This record gives sequence, C-alpha cells and structure tokens, in this order.
Amino acid sequence: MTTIHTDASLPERIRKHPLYWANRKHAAHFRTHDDEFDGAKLGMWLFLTTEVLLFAGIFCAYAVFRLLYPEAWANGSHSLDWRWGALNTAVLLLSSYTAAMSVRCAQTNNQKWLKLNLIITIVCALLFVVIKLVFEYIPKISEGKAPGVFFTYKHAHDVHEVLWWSVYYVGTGIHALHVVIGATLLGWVLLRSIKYQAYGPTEYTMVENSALYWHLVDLVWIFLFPLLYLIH
Amino acid sequence: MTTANTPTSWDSEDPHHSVKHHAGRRYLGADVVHDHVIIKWQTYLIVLLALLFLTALTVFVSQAEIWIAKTWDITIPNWINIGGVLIIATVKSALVCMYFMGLRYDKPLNALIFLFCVFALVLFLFFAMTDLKTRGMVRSYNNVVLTPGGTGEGLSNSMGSAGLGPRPSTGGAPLVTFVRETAIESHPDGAEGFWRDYYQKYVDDGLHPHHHEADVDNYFAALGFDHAEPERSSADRSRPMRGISGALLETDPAAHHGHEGDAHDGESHPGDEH
Repeated sequence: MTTIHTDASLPERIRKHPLYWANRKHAAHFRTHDDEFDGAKLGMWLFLTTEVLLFAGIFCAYAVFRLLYPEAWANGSHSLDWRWGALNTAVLLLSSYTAAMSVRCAQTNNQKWLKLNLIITIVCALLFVVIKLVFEYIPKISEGKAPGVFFTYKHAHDVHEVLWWSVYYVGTGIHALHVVIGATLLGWVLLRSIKYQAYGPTEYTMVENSALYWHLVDLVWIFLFPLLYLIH
Repeated sequence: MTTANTPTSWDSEDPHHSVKHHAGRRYLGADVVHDHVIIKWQTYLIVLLALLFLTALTVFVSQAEIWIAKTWDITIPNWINIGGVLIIATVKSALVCMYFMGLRYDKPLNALIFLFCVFALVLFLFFAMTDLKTRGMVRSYNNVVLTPGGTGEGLSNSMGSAGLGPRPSTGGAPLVTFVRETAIESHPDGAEGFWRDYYQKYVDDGLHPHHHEADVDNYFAALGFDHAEPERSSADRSRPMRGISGALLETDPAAHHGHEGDAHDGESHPGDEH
C-alpha cells in the first residue's frame, strides 16, 4: 500500500479532522479508493455528455436560423465587438489552465498552490461575468437590443434580428449560468481546502470533477466565440 | 473453476485490471504515481500557450478577410472563414479535452463516452442542416415555405397585460417594424429625420469599418431610389458586410415597393438629392 506523507506540523484540529484528505476512507461498497474515484469520474463524464447535448440544441437553433435568415445573422454578428469576445476567451483559457493546475497541486500535495490556483480560477470566472455584463449585456439591453418581447431597438435592419438576439442571449446566458455554477463548485472546493485541507494525493475527486465541469464551460465558449463574434 | 484456465496475472482484487490501469505505463508529458497520472506543469503551460495562439489566429483569419475585402476588394471564398474558424475551434477543444481534461492519459472508457456524445451531436446538426438545405432537391413541392416566425408579430394585448412585454400589442406587425414605425412617428423631423439618423448611426458606430461606394448605392437602392440590385447576404456567406445591405426595409426583395414602403411614402427622403 502507498505511504501517505502527512504534514506533522499541521494543527491537530486539521490532522484529526475526518475531512482531512489523509483521513478519508472510501465508501464501503467500493473495493478500493481508486474504484471510487473512477466511478465518480465516469459519472461526471456521463453528466458532461448531457451538458454537451443541452448546448447542442442552442447550436442547432443558431445554425437553422442562420440558414433561414442570413441577413439578420450577418447584422447581428456585426453588432458584437470581437474584442470583448476575444478578451473573455483569454480569461476562460487562463482559468482552465489554473483549474487543471489545481488538480495537479492536489495530486502532488501542494496545498498552497492548490488554493492559489483555485482563487485565480474563481477570480477569472467573476471577471468573465463582469466583462459580459458591463461591456456587453448592459449597453446592448439599454440600446433596446434585448431578446424576444423586450426588443425595442429602432435601428434594426431586418425583422428577424429579434431572433438573433434571442439566440445570442439564450446561448451566452446559459453559458454564463454555467460559469457561475462552476465558480460556485470551485469555491466550495476552495473553502473545504482552506478549512480542512480536504484534498490531497489520495483524495481529490471533488477537485478533479469540478475542474472537468470548468473545462466544459471553456469548451462551449471556444465554439460560441467564433460562431457569434467572428463569422459574419 | 480451475486455475489452469485463468490468466497468470489474475488478481481476485482487480479482475479486470481496472485499478492498476496505468501501473508501469509511460506517457509523454505526464508521470504515473501510484497508478494516478500526474500531468507535468510544462505540458499544461504549452497547451495554454497553444490555445492563446490559436485564439489570436482565429481572430486574425476573421479580421484579415475584412481587411482584404476593404483594401483590395477581393472577396475570399465563403467557406474559408467559416471552415477556418470552426477547424481552429475544433483543434482548440481537442487540446482542452486531451490535456486539461486529461482524456489522453485517462482510462479509455471516459474518452469513448465523450466521443460517442460528439458523434450524436454531429449526427443531430448534420441531419438538421441537410434536411433544411436539400428538402426541395428531389421534389420541388417539398421546398421550405417560409412563414415569418419569431418576429413578434403575434404579440397581443393579453401578453402585455400579463406583464410579459413592455408594450401592449404590435398590431400584427413584426416587432422590428413596429418599433421603427413608432420611432418614425415620434421623430421631430418625421421619416426623413429618422432615416437620416438611421444611416448616420451605422456610420458613427463603426459597425461596418469597410465603407465603400456600394454602401451608399445599397442604401438608396433599398429605399427604392436606385434600380441597381443591392448586394445581399446568403446563408453561407463569409464575405464581410458592406454597410447598409439590401434588406434595409424588406426581407423579400420582390416587395421593395410594397406596404413596408408606405410607412414613409409622401415624405421626402435623403435619396431625393441623389
């Protein structure tokens, strides 16, 4: 069996805490710790496939309406500024890197950088949402470029531009919701990491699965960015 | 059960070798520690830099197309921009899946599940698009007959009173038309003033950074003062838009002088000076 190197200098409150990573036992119905980890990860991947299919519906709506109303789609794409999209892409890619690094830090028991990487990831998530709200959603909605019945933009070209804005807000809105959920999950991991040192080489399922969720958010944005901002 | 029929590496604790999957294996860019793969930080950093580079590349491809069209008046074939940015996006997502999500080093079942999902996604999009594009090819009467949907023309009083919208009714007009006509009515200079602002806004916003004489022609053509055929978009175009397009007032080119034009008939237009 593997030797677990625990830190003797840890305060007793953490060292004796049942949530401290070295004290964690796998559930009784699993053969080993690794089995439990693999099972949890498999379940996470199954869940991620349903997430992909959720966004598939939005991508399909985008493609169908683009084919039917190309004029509205060209106009819509021209009213988005690629610079905000590109900046947000960079923010998400960086946060994906730090999320991956936080898994590595848990695996190598680097507690300090585990927390720092999680903090950077969460800050990037907030930055993404703030950029989206302050520089994109709020100016556009105040111009009247709002989805569905709320549309009041008097300088629109095409009667179907309402549809473009609906697809835009639904696509980026559900994505932004995922950003918030992902940041909440990672925040919970950070909290448990600070309070109990809950994650380490033999117990990092939650870090791994939260990071997987975070990478999926990144993955969706990798496609939303060129479709909405770059293709005209 | 006799021991003679079991493989020599039989382990009753791990009959399918699922636990000790990585033991003794070697990977480029990652270490195996106690049957867990730990990906090197150098690998992660290279992948991050590659992803940022590809993001810059995809923006460059899209901007270069606009610049080339503006500077040399060369229209790049429409599949290059769309195909280009989608291929780059696919490469980027493959990098994220393989390294950040660790599928390259993971047990193959996870990758299989995800690839099957991608297959379902492609199947879904492919048949939806094929259906839409090719319906009329075998029997022309199967051609899609477009009815104006999603334009908000069904908005009624009941929706307004339910608090679902900021307005009681569009009076059967599409939302865009309704909003525009309301704005024309309330504009101090009437229709002329509205349309002047309308065009000026698009110039001021710099939404179409590649202004061209054709823009002006398109603008007047759409107002019905010029008989030149305005440039129009198509579903698979990737050519950058040139200013106000032919669909300024109508989605149907045949109806340029139809009811839509009545809204500002009898008023003088900027086109009068043309």
